[in-house]
Amino acid sequence: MRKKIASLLTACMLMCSFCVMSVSAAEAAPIQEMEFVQEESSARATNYFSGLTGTMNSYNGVQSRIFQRSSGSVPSNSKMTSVEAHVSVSSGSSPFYLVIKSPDGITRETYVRSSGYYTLDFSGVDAYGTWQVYIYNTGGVSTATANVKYYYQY
Amino acid sequence: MNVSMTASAMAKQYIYNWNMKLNKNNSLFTNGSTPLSGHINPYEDPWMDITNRSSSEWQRMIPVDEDVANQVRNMVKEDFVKRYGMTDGSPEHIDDRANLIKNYTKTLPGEQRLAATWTLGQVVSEEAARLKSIILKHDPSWTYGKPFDTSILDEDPSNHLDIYV
Repeated sequence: MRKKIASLLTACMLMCSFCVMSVSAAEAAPIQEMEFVQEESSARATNYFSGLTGTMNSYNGVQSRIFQRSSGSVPSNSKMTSVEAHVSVSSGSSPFYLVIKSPDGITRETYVRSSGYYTLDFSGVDAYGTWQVYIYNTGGVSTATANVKYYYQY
Repeated sequence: MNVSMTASAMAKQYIYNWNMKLNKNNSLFTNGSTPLSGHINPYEDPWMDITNRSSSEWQRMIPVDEDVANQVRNMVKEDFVKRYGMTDGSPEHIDDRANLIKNYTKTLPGEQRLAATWTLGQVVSEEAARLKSIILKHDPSWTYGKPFDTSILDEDPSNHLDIYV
């Protein structure tokens, strides 16, 4: 009986360690990882590219590290619809601004208090090139990561 | 204020203080809300921030430099000739078009930058649509990336938007 309990416990511990390892691996995934989803319609097709940021830290208003995401090769007339960020905020973080910057320099930001999905409207902005993501706050310390999807049409 | 601060650091500190004053009641902010009108991101060109702007405010056509517009058109045509309508995704060239537009709009007065960026984006769309319509005449099933005889692109004379300074 004891042996059975011990082997059950070992199995549980192994499963837990696999879970932790897969989360770490996801965080360390290169930002070049890319997903494509395509929905064809008669007039326009919708597609997206996406990427994970690493840890973004801001303290007392200082800008975090900037994470970049390239569109890769896209149809020449690709125009954005929106950017959707799934933000994971570390516990105890001060609220902050999440900033998305387009390749031609157009910026939009949103105020983040807690983890969740945030959608930023970039309708009509050129999708082609390198996009940037970062945070900054207005006091205290903020830490977050984000999984960002860039939706476009062509 | 620290006397050893650079002008840019002083400007950032001033904006930081300004935002702090403005955000005194930021406990009222909800998740995902846009910043208060008057809030400034100290790290970006405020003229390029669309956060608190309506689309009608900046999605408008204005006269732009003819040479820049032609360079943008040539880049689009190159996409069609070399990659059947797909952009160059190589790290060396991926930002060529965006940098051309960005470097040009930086030379303009602040209030014209977003509209000029939008206008040059419309030049891209207009040129891509023109080239696509030529290809579709020859191959109605054509879609981006599908090979075609690129010599057909020289058949139609260009008929561009009149948007020059």
